[in-house]
Amino acid sequence: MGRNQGYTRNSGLEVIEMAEKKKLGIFKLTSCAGCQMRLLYYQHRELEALTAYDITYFKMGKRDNLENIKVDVALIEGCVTNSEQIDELKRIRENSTILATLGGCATRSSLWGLKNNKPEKEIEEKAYKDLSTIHSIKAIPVNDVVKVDYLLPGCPVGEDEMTEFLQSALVGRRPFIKPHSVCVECKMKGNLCILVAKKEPCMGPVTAAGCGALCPTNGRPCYNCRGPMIAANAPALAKEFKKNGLSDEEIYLKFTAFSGLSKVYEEVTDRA
Amino acid sequence: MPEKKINIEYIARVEGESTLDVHISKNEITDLKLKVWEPPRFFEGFLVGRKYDEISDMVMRICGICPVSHSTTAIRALENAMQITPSAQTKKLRRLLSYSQVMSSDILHIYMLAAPDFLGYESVLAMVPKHLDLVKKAIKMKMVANELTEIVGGRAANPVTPKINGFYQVPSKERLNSVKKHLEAMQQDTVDTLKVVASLPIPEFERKTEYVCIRNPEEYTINEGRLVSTEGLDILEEEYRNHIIENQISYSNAKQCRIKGRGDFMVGALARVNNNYDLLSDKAKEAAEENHLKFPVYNPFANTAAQALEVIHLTTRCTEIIDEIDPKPEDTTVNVKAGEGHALTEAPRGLLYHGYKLNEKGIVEKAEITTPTTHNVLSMEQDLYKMIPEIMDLPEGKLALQCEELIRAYDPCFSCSVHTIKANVKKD
Repeated sequence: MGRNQGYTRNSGLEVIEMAEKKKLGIFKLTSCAGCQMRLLYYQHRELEALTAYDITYFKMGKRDNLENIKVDVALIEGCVTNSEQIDELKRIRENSTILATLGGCATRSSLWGLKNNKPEKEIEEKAYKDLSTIHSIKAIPVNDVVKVDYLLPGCPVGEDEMTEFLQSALVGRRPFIKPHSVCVECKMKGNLCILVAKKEPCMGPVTAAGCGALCPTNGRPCYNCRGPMIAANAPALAKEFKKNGLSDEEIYLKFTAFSGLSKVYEEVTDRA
Repeated sequence: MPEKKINIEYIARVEGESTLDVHISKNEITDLKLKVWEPPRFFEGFLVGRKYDEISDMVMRICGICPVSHSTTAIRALENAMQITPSAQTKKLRRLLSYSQVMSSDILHIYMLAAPDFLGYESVLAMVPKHLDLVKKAIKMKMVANELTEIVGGRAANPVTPKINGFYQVPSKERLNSVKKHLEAMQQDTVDTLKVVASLPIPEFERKTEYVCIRNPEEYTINEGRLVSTEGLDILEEEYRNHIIENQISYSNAKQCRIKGRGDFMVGALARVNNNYDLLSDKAKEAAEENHLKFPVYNPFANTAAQALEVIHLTTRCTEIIDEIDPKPEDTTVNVKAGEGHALTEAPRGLLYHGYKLNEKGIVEKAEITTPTTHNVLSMEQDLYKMIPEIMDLPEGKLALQCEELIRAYDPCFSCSVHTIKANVKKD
């Protein structure tokens, strides 16, 4: 391919030519494939960033996939729920320079972590009558199995944060991953605080930013789909919820829905 | 006599993980298994004990392609359980949301997943140098469909506005009108897409199975209707469980479905068009005639053409709905009640069923979900049983590729059904 070949920038279809492209592998463990799916939207700058890589592995997007080769960047979607995936993940780690999680499942096991809160058999029996052929272990996030260089939250990972990561990995700088809560983004949008003004159970104060305060902007409380921000003060928010009339059970449900195996909320969610 | 073994380790460019194993000995299939090894996630297990207002947000995570379908189906089933009838405005907005997702998913399948097969490429990115205009057109159409999902749903992937008995926030007429312009501008592209799809050679293969979808005599429906089939099935959505039987099979994490007293059936765009062709817009029918497409069609490879056809219809229909509504905030209060409710909708890949039982606090006591690909798995196997003997003389590699293409034509979604396909064909 020649340089740019006349592709226009506004269509997002600019093929970036480099002497040797960095290799990118996109791998899937247990997930809904929504983050990979979002990559298939191929929009704007994100497509530009993707075409700057040589994508060697992306089963959902291409037929020729190279197994067991060295890649510069590995993106892992999904968490571990069977023993084969542990081996697979270790092989990917050995073969990659930078390894990052792609979304909430890989980062903290998200929704799939709900299975860990109850006896395995009780949960499994409700989905399958015969468990003899079903092999499943508790839902474990990627960084509990191998060393992870960057954790990208999101359900799914949004375009801006994806592009930021792909570009930074390309040039070898550290990506900016927002360390603050959804509240900061909500304030920047000038939204009325629905937790304070309307007493609605908004999880914004303890949720990792990056969505642009999507839910409060759309008239509803944040439901924590991006999971906990680091150093969140869960007990303080639980107290506020209680004051606003939520039962202990309702508070438990709020803090467990998407937080998976994260320990950030354990003061609220630990029932032992 | 030669023996062949088709082994497709993973079927690429589909959503999720699966393997096809075929063993051929003395020109006869001795073994054929479509194994879905997408790891199970136990939704029906962990939803138990959760509250009614969390379910829509949770079930969206069953599938990255059709979150809207899972959300809408769950919401409708829960409304049925609590005897809630949503407003006419809510029903129309839900249609817009659902149609936008079917359009987006159909376009994705036609161009990003299936077109590389027909044009001989390994991926859509590999098509960029030679088919730039086509790829640009595809991305543009997909963006318009996503834009509509985002305007109504708040986010194209995993929307945030849908709730039981309405929406957290309704879109402004102004924003709807802006996307309407884009929809109108894309209409010619949808007609051209059908032209491209209809001109691509598909394998000559036919197997008449039963085609199942929902039908509403007033509209080419996605959200509400009676369950019908080309073999005379015509039942209410709450009767679903009495007619469709789900079985667990030992070699796969996806269950298999059959119609009681009959057998396998096909769901998806082809089933919708085979049953509801009369309800398509004049423009869509004209385009079908121009391209010499006459439905019903019994070739599963025609599923892609059926998708292109419904995109023409849905694009027009969305602009009409936008004209019909001027959304205003409504009371969406939910009176929690114990009860049991079921709902059927058309996800992009076909029939989707959700059923819930709630206690008086609105806590889920039982959850049942049957996805389109679960409905289709048996039909895929039956097609392969018929197709492979017809193409037995092909070399193993080509034989395996056509098997893989057949499965991809169904546009399967294996993370839904539990999730990529690989075909392993071995001739001994």
